Amino acid sequence: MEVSNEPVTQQSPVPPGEPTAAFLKATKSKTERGWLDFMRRLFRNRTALVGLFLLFLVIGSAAFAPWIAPYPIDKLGVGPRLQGPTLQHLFGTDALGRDLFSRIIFGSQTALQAGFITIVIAAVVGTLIGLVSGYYGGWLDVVLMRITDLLLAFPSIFLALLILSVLGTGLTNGIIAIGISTIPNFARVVRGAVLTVTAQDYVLAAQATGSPNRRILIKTVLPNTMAPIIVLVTLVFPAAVLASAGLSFIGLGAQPPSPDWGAQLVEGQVYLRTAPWLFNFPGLAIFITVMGSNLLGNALRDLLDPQQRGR
Amino acid sequence: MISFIIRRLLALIVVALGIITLVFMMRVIIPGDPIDTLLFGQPKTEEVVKNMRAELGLDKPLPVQYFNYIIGAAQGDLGKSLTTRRYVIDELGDRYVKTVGLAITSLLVGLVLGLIFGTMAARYKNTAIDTGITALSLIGLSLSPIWLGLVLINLLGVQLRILPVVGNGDLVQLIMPAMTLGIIQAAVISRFVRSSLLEVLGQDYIRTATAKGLQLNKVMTRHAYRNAMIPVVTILGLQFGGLLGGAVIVENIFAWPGLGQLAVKAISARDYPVIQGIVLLAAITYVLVNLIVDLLYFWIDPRLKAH
Repeated sequence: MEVSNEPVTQQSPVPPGEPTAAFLKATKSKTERGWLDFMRRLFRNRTALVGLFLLFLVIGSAAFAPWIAPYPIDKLGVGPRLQGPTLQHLFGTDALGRDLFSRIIFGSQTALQAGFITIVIAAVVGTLIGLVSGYYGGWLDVVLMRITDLLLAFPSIFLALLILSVLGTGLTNGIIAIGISTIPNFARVVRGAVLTVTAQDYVLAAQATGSPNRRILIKTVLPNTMAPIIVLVTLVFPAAVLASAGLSFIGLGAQPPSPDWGAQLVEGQVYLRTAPWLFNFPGLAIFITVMGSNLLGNALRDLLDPQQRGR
Repeated sequence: MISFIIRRLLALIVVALGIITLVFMMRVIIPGDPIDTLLFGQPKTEEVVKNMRAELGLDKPLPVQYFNYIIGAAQGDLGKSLTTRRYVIDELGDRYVKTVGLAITSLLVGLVLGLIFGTMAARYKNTAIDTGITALSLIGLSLSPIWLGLVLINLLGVQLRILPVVGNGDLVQLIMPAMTLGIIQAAVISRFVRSSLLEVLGQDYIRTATAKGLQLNKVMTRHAYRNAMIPVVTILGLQFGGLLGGAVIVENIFAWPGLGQLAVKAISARDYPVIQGIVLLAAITYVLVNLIVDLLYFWIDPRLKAH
């Protein structure tokens, strides 16, 4: 002990606890490098850049709405009624003399809420179901997947309408309904990915080392199913923004005084003949949001799934 | 093939039972008493409430109610509307035809446009035409049907005065909603047509067909399209669900008297038998359409019959 081992311990300046830490640090920087590389490739992609720019516009409007919007959204008569776009009122005014530009800027908040809350609900619950179902298998898998298949047999908006009739109408309930109705999509996709991942040797290795299942699921399986989850997120986000605007438009989501784009389109329809800006600007705002996320989604899909490239 | 159809029909029954169960459960957990909806604005005495419960079958234990609902649904009896007191099936009947008609017309519009643009993009692969069509389809995918619908009304109805802005549910009134949904569908379908055609055109049998001197048109119709259609038909079936859903929104823009319009009214009025009926009908239609799509494969791809 005193003879042979001494040079070794002297040579390595790290105490016994350190090697694992150093190893972790090394792997961490490796994944960080992976991320950096990924971001570099993303920023080199022209589609992604356009998408990011459009989303940046929307997210920027939502975050800095109180500072960007020149007028309060619910103050009546800040301008003449039903006036077309002018320098004072960039997007014109509505029937109550409210400034449309300010309302569109604030409307980005509810639109983004719809997208993000839907994703949080659907991705968290759906991923959990998919992980459990795919990893443990057995009767649990059968039961969960039969329910999932059943829910996927509904055109998703009808499932949302069913949930909405239980919860009651309104913006929040509408978004929750869209979120819940998207859970089965995530459950299906994640389960499929989990089945592929658990067949890999590294999962077997993790099981052989005696790691508890929960640890394997979170540390080994989940990270390797991230690519399909991200792909699905990029598909669900724009769909949720559209669905939420749709619910608001048919009167089951956000209600008229709200600056929600879908609710504004209702007014746009009323004054369709005389004031086309009332439906064109909210429509354009929805389009920019959805287009931005579609473009970014396309780029991400190409980067994450090289086989799909060019399709 | 026969055993395949029988198996699929059995699966259909299981799915239908599942949907009925889900829809029934929704009624159980829905907050508020349906009696309140029925007696809106009328005096609520114990006697009346008791009679109404008996009339609706709500005085029986839940398993019995569930069983009765399944039996009723199998016979087309989905109960009575709480607001109009008419049978749900009568309320839905005509509107169902209108909604499915809208969905099918939109699918046809989407298919025709999708085939044209998809073929052009594949034919002129990696040229400006291809890029232009890809860009157009991306725009179409990002369009809100509400905005597109309102733009169409403004353009065709108000500015050019080609089509009537309002109508009473006749065929002329179908054009604009079908265009709205169809254009968005075309964006999806054209992408699949393009990629599927490109894949098929690279196959050996296409080269053989061309080499033996077959005219280009013949090669396309007899060999290329037939094989390229398989993934496209799958997408058509899946998109049908989206179209039924899209109809909910679009019907409300164009005042098209379909299920979507009724659904909004029913949800606002908490008229649960009607909501149940609409959801049930939409889900079963969707499942049926996809069964038909599966059967179409046998016609498109004779190789499958051998299995």
